[in-house]
Amino acid sequence: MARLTIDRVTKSYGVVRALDDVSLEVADGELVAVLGASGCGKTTLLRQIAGFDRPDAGRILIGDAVVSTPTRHVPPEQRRIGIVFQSYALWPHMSVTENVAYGLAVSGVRDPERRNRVNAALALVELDGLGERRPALLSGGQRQRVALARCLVTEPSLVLLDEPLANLDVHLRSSMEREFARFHERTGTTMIYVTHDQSEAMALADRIAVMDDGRVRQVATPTLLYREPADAAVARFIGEGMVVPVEVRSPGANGTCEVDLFGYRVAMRAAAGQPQARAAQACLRARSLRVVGADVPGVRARVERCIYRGGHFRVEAHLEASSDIALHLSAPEPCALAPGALINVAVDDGWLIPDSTQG
Amino acid sequence: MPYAVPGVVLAIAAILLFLKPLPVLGVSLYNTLWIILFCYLARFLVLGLRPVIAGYRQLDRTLEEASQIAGARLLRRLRTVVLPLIAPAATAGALLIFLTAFNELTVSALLWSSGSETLGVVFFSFQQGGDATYAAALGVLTVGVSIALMYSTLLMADRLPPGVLPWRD
Repeated sequence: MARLTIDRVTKSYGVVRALDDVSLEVADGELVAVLGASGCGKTTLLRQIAGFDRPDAGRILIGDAVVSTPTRHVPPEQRRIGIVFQSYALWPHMSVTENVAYGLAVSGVRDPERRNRVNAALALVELDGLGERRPALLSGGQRQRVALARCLVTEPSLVLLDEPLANLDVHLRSSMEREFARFHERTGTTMIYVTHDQSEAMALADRIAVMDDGRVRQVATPTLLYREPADAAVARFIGEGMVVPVEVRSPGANGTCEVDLFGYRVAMRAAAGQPQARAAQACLRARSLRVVGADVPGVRARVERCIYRGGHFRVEAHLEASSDIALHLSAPEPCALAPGALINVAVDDGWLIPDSTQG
Repeated sequence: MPYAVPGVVLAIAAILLFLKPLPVLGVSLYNTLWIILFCYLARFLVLGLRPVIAGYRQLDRTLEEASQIAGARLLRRLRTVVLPLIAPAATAGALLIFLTAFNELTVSALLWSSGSETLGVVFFSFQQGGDATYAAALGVLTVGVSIALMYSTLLMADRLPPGVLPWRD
């Protein structure tokens, strides 16, 4: 078990900045998800932590030991970490037991102890009795569990999970998700979970680090990330947030303020001590938008289409005042909105994005 | 490349190269078995390496990385992960070399010396000396060995990466 400290790490490949001044603190026993679209640098970050690659600037500490700087580099085999690869990377020429025992054999653990620890690890992932099989004869979920057992049997100080569920089908995914959560609870290992799937990250992580374009945009708990995104990119990425331009009217107290959304006055949540810019951006969620009658205050929008989603409709619309701003909201069944219809939308809740000062 | 050069050319090049004793060592390879070995290596190594390289290219890098993470250093990784996984391809390469070098004549005809005759040379001299019966008997034996070996490579063909065996698509 150990802390992980990533301190202003930068890495470029040619002209591409894969990691740009990335800092992240992971506490002992914490599960942090690194979330981002593909190509945002999350795998590069993982390879830096594992030591397959060295940074151009910055440093990485595991516990109190500096493992990576541009000049000092502890090779992966000495870092005492575990990785679950996206492709599982089980050795096809070894049986399940041999796969799991490998790390122990390498570090010189001898037989009765080695056998006991391997059996315990296999029991922990509920694979007892399959020890003699070859990985090729196992199902996807079973292979995943072998990989997990193999990585945990050596009791690493830190476990890196590289999109471990990306190759599984939907049913298996949710059950493995539960398994990971249970696992983390039971072992209390520090884990870094790299994924592009936000529902996975939300379900598992203590905190989520959102990466975009080689940078860490925000590190926060899942709730905070959803409720209070730090910038427009995070707001759009997490939970399909809508970003709309607003004008701040009065900076209210207690973390609220009153804004003007194309002539419609709404109260929104805002960060305390925010600089009082007049023009700003706000993040809206589909669940806080309602279609209301024309006589109630609201913002006018034109319906583009209605999609049936089982039990409710997803209504996609754009603002009448500015047609390049799209809204989407859910409307209960039955829904009589035809494309092109004008609707009045009330906003129950919103978040004034702190980092949206537009000069 | 060396495989495309005719054997005669390679053999003459080797004679010219090794006619004088090797510098520094002062040993002459000329007129020994070793000059034949040298030429065989130059000629057939490519054939044997190709399957090995193909096998290595197909190895998933993460298999090696997983073993690195488990704490294994380079030599151990090679021994426990890389070698077992490319062993079938390496065996196929070895068999290919054996099959081709077994009855090789053109290179050894120019390089053999008394006491270091290769099979091809022995054939040839039997035939030249009028002992056609001996030559035929030896021929039948070598054909038998070749067929047995080719059959054994075919048996393991399913475990080999594609493109290793030249006579299979």
